[in-house]
Amino acid sequence: MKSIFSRPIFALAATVVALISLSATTTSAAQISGVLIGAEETPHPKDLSPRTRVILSGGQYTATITRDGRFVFPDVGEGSYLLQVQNPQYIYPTIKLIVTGKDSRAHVVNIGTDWSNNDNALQLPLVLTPRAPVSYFVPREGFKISHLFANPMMLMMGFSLLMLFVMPKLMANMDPEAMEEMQGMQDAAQMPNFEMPDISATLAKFSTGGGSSPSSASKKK
Amino acid sequence: MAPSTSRGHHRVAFQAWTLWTIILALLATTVVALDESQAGIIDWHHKWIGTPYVSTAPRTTRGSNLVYVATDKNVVAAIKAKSGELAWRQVLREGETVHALRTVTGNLLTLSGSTEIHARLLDAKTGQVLWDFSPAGEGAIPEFGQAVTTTSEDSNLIILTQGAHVRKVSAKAGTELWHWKAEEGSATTYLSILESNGFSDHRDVVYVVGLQRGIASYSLEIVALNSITGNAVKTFNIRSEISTFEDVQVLGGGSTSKDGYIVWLEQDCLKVLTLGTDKPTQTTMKGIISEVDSFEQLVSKLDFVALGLPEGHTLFMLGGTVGEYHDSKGAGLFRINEETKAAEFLSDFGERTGFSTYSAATKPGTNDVVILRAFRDDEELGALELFDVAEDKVMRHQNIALDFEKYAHISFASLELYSKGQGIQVRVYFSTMDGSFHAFSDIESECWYREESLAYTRNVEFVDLPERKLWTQDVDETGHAKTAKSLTIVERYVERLTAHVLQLKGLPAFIISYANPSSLFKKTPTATEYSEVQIGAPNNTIQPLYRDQFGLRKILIFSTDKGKVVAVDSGNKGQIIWSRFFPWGHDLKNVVIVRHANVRLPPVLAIIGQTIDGGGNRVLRLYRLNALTGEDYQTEDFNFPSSAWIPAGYLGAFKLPLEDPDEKTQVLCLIDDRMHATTFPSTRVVQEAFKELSDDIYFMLNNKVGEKALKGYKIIVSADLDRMDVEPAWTIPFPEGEEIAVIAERPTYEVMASLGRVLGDRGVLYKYQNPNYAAVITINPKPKLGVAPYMTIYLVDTVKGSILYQATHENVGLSQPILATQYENNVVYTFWSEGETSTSAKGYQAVALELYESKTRNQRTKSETFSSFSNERPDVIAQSFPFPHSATAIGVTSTKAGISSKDILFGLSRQSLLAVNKRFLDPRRPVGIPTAQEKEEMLIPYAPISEDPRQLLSYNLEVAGIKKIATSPTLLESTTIVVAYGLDVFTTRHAPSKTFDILNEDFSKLQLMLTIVVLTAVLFFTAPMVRKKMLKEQWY
Repeated sequence: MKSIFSRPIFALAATVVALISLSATTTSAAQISGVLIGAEETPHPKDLSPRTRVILSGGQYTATITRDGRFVFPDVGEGSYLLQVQNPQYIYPTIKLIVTGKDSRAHVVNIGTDWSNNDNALQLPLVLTPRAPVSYFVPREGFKISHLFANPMMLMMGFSLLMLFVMPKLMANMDPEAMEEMQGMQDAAQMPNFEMPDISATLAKFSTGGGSSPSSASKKK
Repeated sequence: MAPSTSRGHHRVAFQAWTLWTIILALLATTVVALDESQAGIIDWHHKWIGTPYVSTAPRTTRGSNLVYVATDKNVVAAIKAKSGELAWRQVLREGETVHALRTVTGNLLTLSGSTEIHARLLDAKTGQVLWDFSPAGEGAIPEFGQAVTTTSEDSNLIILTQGAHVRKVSAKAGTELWHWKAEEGSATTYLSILESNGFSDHRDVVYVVGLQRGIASYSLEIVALNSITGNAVKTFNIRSEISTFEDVQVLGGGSTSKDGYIVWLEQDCLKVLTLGTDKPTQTTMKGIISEVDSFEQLVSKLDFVALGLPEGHTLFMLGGTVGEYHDSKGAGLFRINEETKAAEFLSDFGERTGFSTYSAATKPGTNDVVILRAFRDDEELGALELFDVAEDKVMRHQNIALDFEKYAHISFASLELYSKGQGIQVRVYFSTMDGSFHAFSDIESECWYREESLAYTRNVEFVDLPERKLWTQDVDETGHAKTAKSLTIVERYVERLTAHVLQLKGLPAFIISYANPSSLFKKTPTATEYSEVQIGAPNNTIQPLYRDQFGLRKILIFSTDKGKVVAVDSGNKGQIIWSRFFPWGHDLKNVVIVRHANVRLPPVLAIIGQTIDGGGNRVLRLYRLNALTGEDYQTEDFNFPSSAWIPAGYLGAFKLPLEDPDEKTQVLCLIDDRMHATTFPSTRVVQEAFKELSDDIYFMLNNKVGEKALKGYKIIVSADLDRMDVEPAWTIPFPEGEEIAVIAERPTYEVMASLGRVLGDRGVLYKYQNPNYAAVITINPKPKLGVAPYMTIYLVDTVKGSILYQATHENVGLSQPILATQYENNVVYTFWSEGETSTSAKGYQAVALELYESKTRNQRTKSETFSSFSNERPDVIAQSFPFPHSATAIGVTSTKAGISSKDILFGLSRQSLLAVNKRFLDPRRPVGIPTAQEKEEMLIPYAPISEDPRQLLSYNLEVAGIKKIATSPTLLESTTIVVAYGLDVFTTRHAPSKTFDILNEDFSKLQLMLTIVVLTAVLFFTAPMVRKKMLKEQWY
């Protein structure tokens, strides 16, 4: 960061002038402050990660949080902003912040909703409580013997095994008429395959050289 | 029967189609999230801080555990002194320069800022902010004007900001006690504050030292403030002619009983002023130069050398360039004599070639100063020289290994002395020009280094490792180089046989890994805590590198802003394989892999950089390295030198679709600022081939952010001159006020798996397959009529320079970066929207564009081949989605065959890496209730992009400052390697469609085995039954 200060004096003068004019124009700016609170199991803000940041409108203003969870934007220009908390432990609500000289307001908003909606007003300075702790991982299901038997594969197997013993006895007890009726029902239940292409049919078609249309077959003759 | 070839074709198509169905079925559960046990195993994360330029350590006699540093990446960090690991860090905002770092009452005080100034007290152990003092509406001025000091009485702080405001701030609570402000419009800028002995009857005095602008130079102005009330007591105006603020040093003071001094350099003399008086003493330059022997051959003006001593000391050092070739530095040490109040020569530090860096510290428990001079002795060694001021002699000269090829010169050093037993132990921290940070300690195990140059990564390239089989071509089975010894056939046969027998012991492991590929993902059962393996002596015994079964292991070649190239293993927690530093201001423009690992031939890397020579001319330089070792790639043939140069500046470089027949490397085309095109290598064969090709080469060049027009070029071969020139082919001037903000980057590897998109009714929308279109976003920061800036996206055909599509977004916020990426027929970009109307929400927007050949389904362009010169325009479907995060980088996954779905990757300012499946960023997502057809197409109804933390690939890691995201395919179609870099480096494997081509992590092998066992048991049980039954049937 040490370079020889060889630039002309105007550069410095320009910066100073710019800074002075900056402070002159932002007379209607306001200080916005608030406090973050941890979730129930660790309610003390001390446990919040030091990398937590509170940002306004995509990083137009950024604030760090102190150990007691407080954050301050010392100098926010007039306008409306989206306040977000970037914390790796908890999800905080997003907030619409309307800054006017004296009377600033804050409302909880959801991403993608109407900006003019002014429900869920919050008091300033803000006190923000997390909506939920963040969970990054999907829990993996471990192996359980009950899972094994709840498995469709196992159920199918068990069922077929059962049928192997039960079916013959059932069939034997059935009278021939009912048997015939059931046969008929089974034929009717042959559902026509619509919408989904029949994989086996397609496969068969390809393997026989795609000769599905009788016209092409007749031509070959 | 149809011919067999077409049938084979059908079958492939069919297989691809079934694969698609499977993938879509898998995607029914949309979020691909990480399992906790995978964290830290399939990924690694390097936390970097940048190169320190300020450091401080708590003053202890026993040696401190932590050293605090501030870096030019605006990071304040605490590093464990013994191991070099990070204890904590605070990544400050972009542009938030750290002006001062100081330990105060056991905690760390930082003064930082540019547009906003912040004084923060950080907890020394955790880095948590204890208080943050930020005066409203005040910024910082560059270079100087910010300073901090403590008062001796109540150890509160006195802070100078913006060169004009002085405040006393309570060290405990961070509240303002008093505020003194320079007069509005004053010509004086204050640069330093010092508590020291008062004058007449004023005791508690703080002096504010300032420079008042004159016409040609500055003159000194000192204001004495009452440190209790903050009232100005007296102003001293000292007539002086000072040319820069660096010619002023403030010494002494530190308590109300000690004298404070200002030392400054004028044209031909050195002056010393005791604070509280207005009569300076004076020593002529001539006198000084004659007194110090090493200044005999002085060729420059003398400058102050910063020693970093705390208040109270009156030592200062002057240094200058000496020697016939202007390549050495001389230095002399001076002190202010308490009696005469004048500068007094103490000791000559002598002349040393190259750069010297100084740091001073006091001996533990005493006030004796020891000065460290760190410099380079020769190519291999650095030297640390410790000078004891009280005894006026060099107490120690220590040589340390410091490879010039890797680190070059020392740029910053800091000395710490502590007592252990009877003796004094030395610890030295230093930064080198390549960006890395080192520690030398008397205890050998406490020497470490951090490869901080990776915090400056500009680009990354992926090098595929050679297969093990190929590696054994050069090296025989026992690991010896084949050429090393000559064996008879029998001997060789015996050796081979024994080697094969020896290899058998690896067989069980091989079988296991084959039977269970997921074991590759699962080496240890739980995530291990991240450890900074890159710390410590660089590992010189690196195993021969070869590819793993699935090509998941690659070499990542990082090129950095500092001019260093670092090769990192993508597996193995990111171990550094080799590094090369290109000194003397190499601006590394491009790193290209010109040859992948080939039979017997190692992969070759071309590094293209630009330097400025002694005459201020730009020189384009090209180096060829062996990508496996980082050494120069030497060949016998003089057409293929390991380094080459062109006496002109760099404009562009790209690979040509040509391969030179001799070396099997891809031909590079270099464009220099004379508008010449040069090929590398430039053998006759290559040049002929290039000339043949040159009619069809169109490219964009020099289109930078901030330009007002987009330019395309083509190659012109002038027949008589035998030279290839570059000529503008087209220009798109943007409307008044608009300038380029972003040019979307494509992934380097791209394969389109399917030509169209199948709709719900089995119709197809055919993709627009122009490989030569670019998405360019312009902004107009100050439109004439509107109030807020607006941005426009242009899709440009880069061959003929026509605009294919254009759209404007009003009211765009510029504090959030605009990002764009494109692949195949898709463009995704994000920005901050201030709301187009007063009621529309403010927030981040992500916009997805999809380009199709036609609006109507099943309609294709007539022509067989695609030509840029035909007049076809794509049909663009666009949709914008509210996006929940502030993004800093964008990328897209790439897989081997392009069959897996795509994830759009975002680097977030919340220090994470996010993956959003393209199905969420699909412009065809139905708004309103989906129709039956849309349901059939499996479109998700329109909704904002969700804030699901399970989409974060970096889970709870702190991946700070992501600037770019690069991806590379692996041999597994499902899996892509993702590297996110900027400040930190984070690398992970990601499977956007889940790992459909290997067994799932939670696949239960036990269950499979049990099923088989049960089935077999049932078989044994039922077989006799069936046999019996059949026998019965035979009988009856």
